[in-house]
Amino acid sequence: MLQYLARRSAYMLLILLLSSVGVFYSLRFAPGDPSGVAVSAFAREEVREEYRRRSGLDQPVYKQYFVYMGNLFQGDLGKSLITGKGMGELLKYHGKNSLILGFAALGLSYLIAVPLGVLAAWRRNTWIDQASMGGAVIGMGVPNFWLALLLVWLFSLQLGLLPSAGCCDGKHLILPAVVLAAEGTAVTLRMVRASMLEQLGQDFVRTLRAKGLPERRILGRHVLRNALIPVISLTGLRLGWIVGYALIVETIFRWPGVGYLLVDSVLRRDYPTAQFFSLLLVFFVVSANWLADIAYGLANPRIRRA
Amino acid sequence: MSAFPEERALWEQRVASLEAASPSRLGEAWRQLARNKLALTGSAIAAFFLLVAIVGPFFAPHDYAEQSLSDAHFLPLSEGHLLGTDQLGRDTLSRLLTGIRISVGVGFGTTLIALVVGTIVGMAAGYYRGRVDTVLNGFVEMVWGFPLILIAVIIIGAMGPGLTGVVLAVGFINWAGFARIVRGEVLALREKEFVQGAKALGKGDFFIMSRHLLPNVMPSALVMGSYYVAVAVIVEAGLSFIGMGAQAPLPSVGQMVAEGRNYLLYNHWISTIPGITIVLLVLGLNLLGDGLRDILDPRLKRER
Amino acid sequence: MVVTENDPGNERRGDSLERVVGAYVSGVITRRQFMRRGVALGLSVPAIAALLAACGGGKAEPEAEPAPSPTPPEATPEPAPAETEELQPVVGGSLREGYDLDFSRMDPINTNWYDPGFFTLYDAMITNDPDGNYVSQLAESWEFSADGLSATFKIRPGLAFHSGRALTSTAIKEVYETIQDPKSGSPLGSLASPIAGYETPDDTTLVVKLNHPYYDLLNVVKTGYWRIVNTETRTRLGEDYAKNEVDGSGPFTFVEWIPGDHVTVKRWDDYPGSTVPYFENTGTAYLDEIRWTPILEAAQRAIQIEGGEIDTLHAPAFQDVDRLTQNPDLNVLTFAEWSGYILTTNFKKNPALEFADLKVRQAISHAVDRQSIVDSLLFGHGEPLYGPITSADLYYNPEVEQYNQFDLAMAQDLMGQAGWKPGADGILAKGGQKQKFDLTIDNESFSKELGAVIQAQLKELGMDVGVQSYDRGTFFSKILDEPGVDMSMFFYLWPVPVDVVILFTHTKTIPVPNWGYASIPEVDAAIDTWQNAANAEELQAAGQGFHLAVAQHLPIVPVVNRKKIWVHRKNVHGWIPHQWNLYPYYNDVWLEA
Repeated sequence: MLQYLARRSAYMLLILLLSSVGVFYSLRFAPGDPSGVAVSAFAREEVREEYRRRSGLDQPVYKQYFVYMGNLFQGDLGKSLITGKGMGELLKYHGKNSLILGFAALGLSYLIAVPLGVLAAWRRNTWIDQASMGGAVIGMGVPNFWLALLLVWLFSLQLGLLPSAGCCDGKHLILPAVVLAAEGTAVTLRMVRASMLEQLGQDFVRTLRAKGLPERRILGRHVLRNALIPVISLTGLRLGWIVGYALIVETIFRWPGVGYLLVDSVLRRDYPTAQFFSLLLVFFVVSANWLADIAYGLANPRIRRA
Repeated sequence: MSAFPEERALWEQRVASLEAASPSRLGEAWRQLARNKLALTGSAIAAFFLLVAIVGPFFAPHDYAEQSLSDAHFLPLSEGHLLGTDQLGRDTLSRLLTGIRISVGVGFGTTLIALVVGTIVGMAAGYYRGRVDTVLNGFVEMVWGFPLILIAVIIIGAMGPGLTGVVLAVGFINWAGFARIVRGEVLALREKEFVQGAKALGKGDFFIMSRHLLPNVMPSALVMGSYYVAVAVIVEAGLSFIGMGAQAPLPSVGQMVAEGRNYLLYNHWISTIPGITIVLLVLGLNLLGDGLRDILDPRLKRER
Repeated sequence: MVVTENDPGNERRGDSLERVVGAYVSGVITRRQFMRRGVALGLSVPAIAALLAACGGGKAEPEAEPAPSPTPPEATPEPAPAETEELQPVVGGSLREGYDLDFSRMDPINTNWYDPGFFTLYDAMITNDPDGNYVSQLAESWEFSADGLSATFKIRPGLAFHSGRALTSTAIKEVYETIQDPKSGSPLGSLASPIAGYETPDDTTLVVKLNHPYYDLLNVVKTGYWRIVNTETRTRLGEDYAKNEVDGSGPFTFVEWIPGDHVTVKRWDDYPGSTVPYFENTGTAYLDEIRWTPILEAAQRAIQIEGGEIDTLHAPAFQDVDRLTQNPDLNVLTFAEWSGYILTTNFKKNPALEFADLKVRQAISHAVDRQSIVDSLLFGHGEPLYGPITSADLYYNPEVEQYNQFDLAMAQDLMGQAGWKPGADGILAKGGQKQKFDLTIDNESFSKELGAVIQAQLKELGMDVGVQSYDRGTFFSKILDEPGVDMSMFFYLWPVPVDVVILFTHTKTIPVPNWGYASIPEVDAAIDTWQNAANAEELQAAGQGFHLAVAQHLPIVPVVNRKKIWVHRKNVHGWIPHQWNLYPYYNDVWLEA
């Protein structure tokens, strides 16, 4: 177990390091630079050169990288080149919105997927099972942006019940959360069902049944717990994928979360913001995976004992 | 995406069920494919789209970039335009045919590359173990959990929008998934008697890997493959939708949906037709994957 | 509604009449003003009355009763925009406005683009009323000297900035001097080249000394880039200015800007009031707060105002205009807009493409089918541009319509004359060089559609054009960083378009903002005539001369103009955009509860 733990932690640090380099270089590789935004595109070249000099942008990239990392470790996270806001402030505003959206989506997906998956496995091959599986397959197939369009068309344009974009109250949260949750719900649903079925096919279940235990107790006490183990390790991955998908959903619904900020800052060449939030998201995903791996390691006796 | 969690469960089950591994499951698998309805439907759809991707554009009634501003916004089943025209008067059917080619091309292309690279890496890591494994597996683990879209945004942010960036981004991540599975299977297989036996007989590593290990590994890889193609298709469409993928006039299916979204209330067909197309394509691929998985996994199959 | 006059040589009058009618129907001018202007245009009172009856009322009024009495206009009952008669303005409330572009940093001196927020935070010396007259804002009065070499502005006393600093003639002088300083990055500094210097004999008098008579000076100082900012604050904050703090003298103060999300301003309670004659409200603003949301997705804009998520909107997507017009909760206001989509070919970057050859540029121009773009992309809400500027402009020259008409055969012929022949792949080639290049555009959805159309139309000519779209910041970087791009498409918007087109086409303004490196003696000469015009008549003739020169020599290739479309919900009062200013003022705006 310890060896497993150490290995996974080492990987995490290595990823973070490599990602920081990758993000840094790729941003600077892109055309355009912040001087056009921070100063003015119409300013004379000398003025923009002056700006670049002052911000250290004329240094070779590796030097800029070390300066940036140095600052990072000393707690200086940088300021947006466009608005001058500090990363902390941006994180509070955008991070809060992303967390709200992410947890709403995650919660929604589990709330639907787990009970439905258990039900589908329990009532295997009945209409409930067929319907859920059918729904799940469709849910995995419909691209989230198209789902977004359909929902907006239905609920905003035709019914006028929900707003089509923006933030920040419950009404604005519903559509983005549903879209973000859709694919995850489908996957989790299938996962839960498959996992339940696998458990139900085990010998110990037959034994319990032979002993005369009511089906409900078998399900609730024994089977469910085992079946949910892979689902738990799934959560880490799910968080990672939500982060990825959130970029698109936030952009479509103009929900000002971290994903939206990231896409926006990459496009505007707002280096400090793009770098910080890229690294942040990477860190988040890697940590989620790491935690999931730990949980999986704990749950899987083969690894735990090793 | 949908691939990963399935894969974990699948892996565990596969490893346990390899007691009954025999050298030529592939042939048996093909026979069973024909009997499984899900897989059949899925492969039919997938094959259909593959066919369309290859020959479709030859039958396109118009050039996909040909505009005719006075013929804009024709409804489907108009004369000369089976699926109507878009806001610039371009024939939707022709654009769709090329768009399918692009989506399928990107999907299958990236997956094929990822499959080859991943299989090689996974095989080498699982077979040789030791330091080779540590290094290779290290790479795999690092890349495997990354959110694809995040990478895509960064890569495309650097390179500028376009299909190249999408292909790079998708390929960058997906190979790791294959490597992981293949490695896991190889790790289990290498202890089996027929492998040990072959070694004892003095057969070379390459021979063992290609004749014994590869055929047993392929089924799972193929199952994952079908999911991954679906993933690639959706990611490409999504990126094109937010403007980071294929650029005008290339009619990526995702971009067609994107262009039509400004006209939802005026002429929804511009978005609806390509939207339905993506759903069908991905559906077909997912069904195929499910069917393959059901065939290749005896335990689950028993439960059905 | 079509307004016709049976006088043959009367297009000019017809134009003005149509404008007046449009203004009345949209509720911009009152019935009294309509009658007054109709009389000024030479129409008889019965004719005006008939017109009134035919056009109905402006906003939500009962059908206008025909008033064929010969009594002077003053005697007719004054309906005015109906709401302000029956309802009292309500103080308070937050206005949510949708805008079609993302906001820039609110620094008038070196912003890349000019947004509605500037109209709330800053004042200018003078501005325009809905009839197009110059009216007082910061300056009480102004006059040119007899020799035309100096202009004296009397500033209102007792003005101050948000920070408290007194707004004196010296403060204004500092702003203008900063604009002229090339280091400041103002895009319009070159418009100040005729200015020799400034004098401030006292706190309320500013004298602008000119190198030569420059009647256009008034057009310049009324614009947004010349609005008055507190240079002390601006210098103190440096490039952080306008990120968190803005120091102007307008009726609102800056709250925050979250790029891509919103801009918010709130009422300034120490605002000394306004002397703009057409404002009903001479004191502090009614609204507590205004919040603009940039809505880059064209279709979303209409959806948001239909759904009540925003109260007012600039530029809905053209395909939605009809639907919005039929919506009983909304008013749609349409005006001529001094704007244009133009193509800039780079004379210098890639000589092998020969964009410096007039024949090549003419060929490109003739290959563009402007009318079908107007019909299909703009849904009729715009017009083709054969010259650089819309026909609604004061200085429009009808002769430009002989040039740049859609004629693919002529275009191909011109390329042939210039030595370009189509190769086996259909692409024009000359001496091994193909006509293959990129068109650089910004990533707004309409720009992308128009870019795709231009790409296809130039393909017919035999040019292989790739379209590259970028967000606005990067777009400006790409076109302005030497050596620029081969071809770009730009959307200009300016109340006096001649001034801004000059900037794109004069040799003196290479490379910024003449990013095409265009250098054409005839065009330069026309510009110099304009800049030396000493009075209104000379300015008129010079303007028309400039229109013609650009149409003939194509330093830029004009494409189409679009109409300015504003939408507001009916519970919004006092929000009066008109075609002489880029955006409305918000002093009068109030929300019905």
